[in-house]
Amino acid sequence: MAEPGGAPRGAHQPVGSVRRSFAPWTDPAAQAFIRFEDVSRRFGSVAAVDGVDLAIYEREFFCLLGPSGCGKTTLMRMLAGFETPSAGRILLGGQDLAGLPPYRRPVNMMFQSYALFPHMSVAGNIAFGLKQEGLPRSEIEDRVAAILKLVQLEGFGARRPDQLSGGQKQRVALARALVKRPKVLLLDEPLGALDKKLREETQFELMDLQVELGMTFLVVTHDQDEAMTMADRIAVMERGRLAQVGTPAEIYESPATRSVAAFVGDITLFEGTVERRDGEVVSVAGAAGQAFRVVGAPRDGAVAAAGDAVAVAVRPEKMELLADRPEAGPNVLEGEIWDIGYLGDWTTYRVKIADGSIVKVARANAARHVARPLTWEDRVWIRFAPDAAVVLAR
Amino acid sequence: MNRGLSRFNVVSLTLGFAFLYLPIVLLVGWSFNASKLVTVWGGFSTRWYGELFRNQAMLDAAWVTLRVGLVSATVATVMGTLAAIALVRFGRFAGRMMLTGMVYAPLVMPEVITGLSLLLLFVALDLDRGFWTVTIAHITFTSCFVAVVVQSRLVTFDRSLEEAAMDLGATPLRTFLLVTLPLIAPAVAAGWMLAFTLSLDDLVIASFTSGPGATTLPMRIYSQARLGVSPEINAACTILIGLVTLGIIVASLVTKRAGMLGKG
Repeated sequence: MAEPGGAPRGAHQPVGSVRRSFAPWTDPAAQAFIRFEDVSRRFGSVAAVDGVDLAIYEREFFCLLGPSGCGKTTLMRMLAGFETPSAGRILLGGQDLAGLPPYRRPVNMMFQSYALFPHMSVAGNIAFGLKQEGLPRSEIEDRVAAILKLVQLEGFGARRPDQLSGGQKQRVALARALVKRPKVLLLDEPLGALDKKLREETQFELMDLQVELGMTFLVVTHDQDEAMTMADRIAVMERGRLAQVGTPAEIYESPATRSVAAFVGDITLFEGTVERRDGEVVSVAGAAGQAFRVVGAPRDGAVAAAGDAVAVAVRPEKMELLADRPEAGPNVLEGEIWDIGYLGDWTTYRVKIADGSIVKVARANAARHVARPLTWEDRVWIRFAPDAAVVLAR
Repeated sequence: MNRGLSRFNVVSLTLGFAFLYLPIVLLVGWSFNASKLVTVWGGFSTRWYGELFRNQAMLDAAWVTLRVGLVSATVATVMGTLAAIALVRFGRFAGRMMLTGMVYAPLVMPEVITGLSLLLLFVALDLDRGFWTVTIAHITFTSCFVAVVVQSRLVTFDRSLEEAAMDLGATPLRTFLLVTLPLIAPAVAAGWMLAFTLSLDDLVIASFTSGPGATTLPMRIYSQARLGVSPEINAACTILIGLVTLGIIVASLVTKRAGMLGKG
């Protein structure tokens, strides 16, 4: 394991070799590093966090994703020690954290506002945590210099926080937390204050850094792209509860609930009733008379018996848009192009179907010129494969 | 809209400031009068300042005032700061509203009442009135001013700075000493200046609570003025005005700087 603040940047194994085979959550013998056991936090009569059970593994890059007010920050603050659970326990490396004040916990946090001390220099900010440990001055100086190099801020040690740009402040805040070599690094909306371009660059830097340092990262974010890009696993939170925990691909391709489907990415829901179920194949009669056939068992075995009200959920990029009438069959819808959004790499079409509802279809712009481009009010057909859709319970 | 000052505005401003400052300007002017008569201008002179520094009673009183000011301002700053922290930080504890009101009350309490009630207390406790009773009285009435100044700074203080310090391993005490105190220091200093200035020019409360041998400068000036205004008194007052003005300017500059730091 590379030592944070010790290892020079560049001398490390390729990120892919670590990321490719990393999936401790599939290993029944793996021990959880952080464990939330039925944790709740109530403020008066409101439950900000409500009965959360969650296991996070060592060296995992874990994201808590959800809209503001869903309880994700409260959950993280309970791990840091700034909030006390109303019920349940939090274990770190097998140790119950109850009663341990923030300054004794082996976790460090990067604050959303960065919370840099305005009366100290960059080096003073970074050295603050090490001074609290009572380390000798020479070691503090070495570690501060090494971490400044790691976050590419060599020569900035003497500056004051108000002389830094937003991106530099973010790096100082990161360095200040990393230099303590915590077992878990908590990041509260770490990229929230950066502009789009810098945010994308920093996402990948954070990922590389996490692999390089072999540290467990827990990130709170409301930005699904950020979570999808960086995380090994994501927990989607909703009104204080966990709606779904899984890899980015699981969350996106097999959302467990309608709200997860709607929160992560775009999706169209076709309401309907289950007609028949043959093992993996579910036939659904759409409310507007469409016929759907979906392959792949619903996540919850209890749903999707004949007669159940369900929704067939399809992502925009998994639908084909055809200018000519295809062969009759399931999963085909006729409509009219209502709106076109040209994004450069993609074009999104909003298609009005027979019952008047709008379906969003995305098409990659693979060629620069198209002989017969689709345009407003064109008659089109939407088609998708049986394994492109997901059946969601109502 | 007329951006400049209209004639009406100029006149009303002049009259207003004249009303406020003409007596003071006259007093300062007369303090440089060579003549012993207060109503006859005898040319410019600083002789009364020299006389003043040879007047032992005046110097004793100034020394008492200075000591009372330094001690009471320092103690009041500590107490006022602690009260402000308690009021801002410890959420909703029982009696918080009442305590907040009680901190503000002395600001509007007539000084005569403050002075009289303290006098009654000292008499009841059978304390010998003198330097310490004046000092205690001044601590009592100035600490609420400190509390108000520090409180206004604490309300805008970013709590995540303290959380960050604790997260990095600092105990609550070290967090206070290393992060909170340095950042509210300008407000604390402004509070001290204010307390010192208030103590310096207090006459009413000092008159009630002082005893033999602890006559403050305002008390000495007042008692001399009753025997007739002398140019020497004018000189003493001019020095006092200078000190108070300086104190207020420093306090407001420091507060302004604190406000800028808070935004940064």
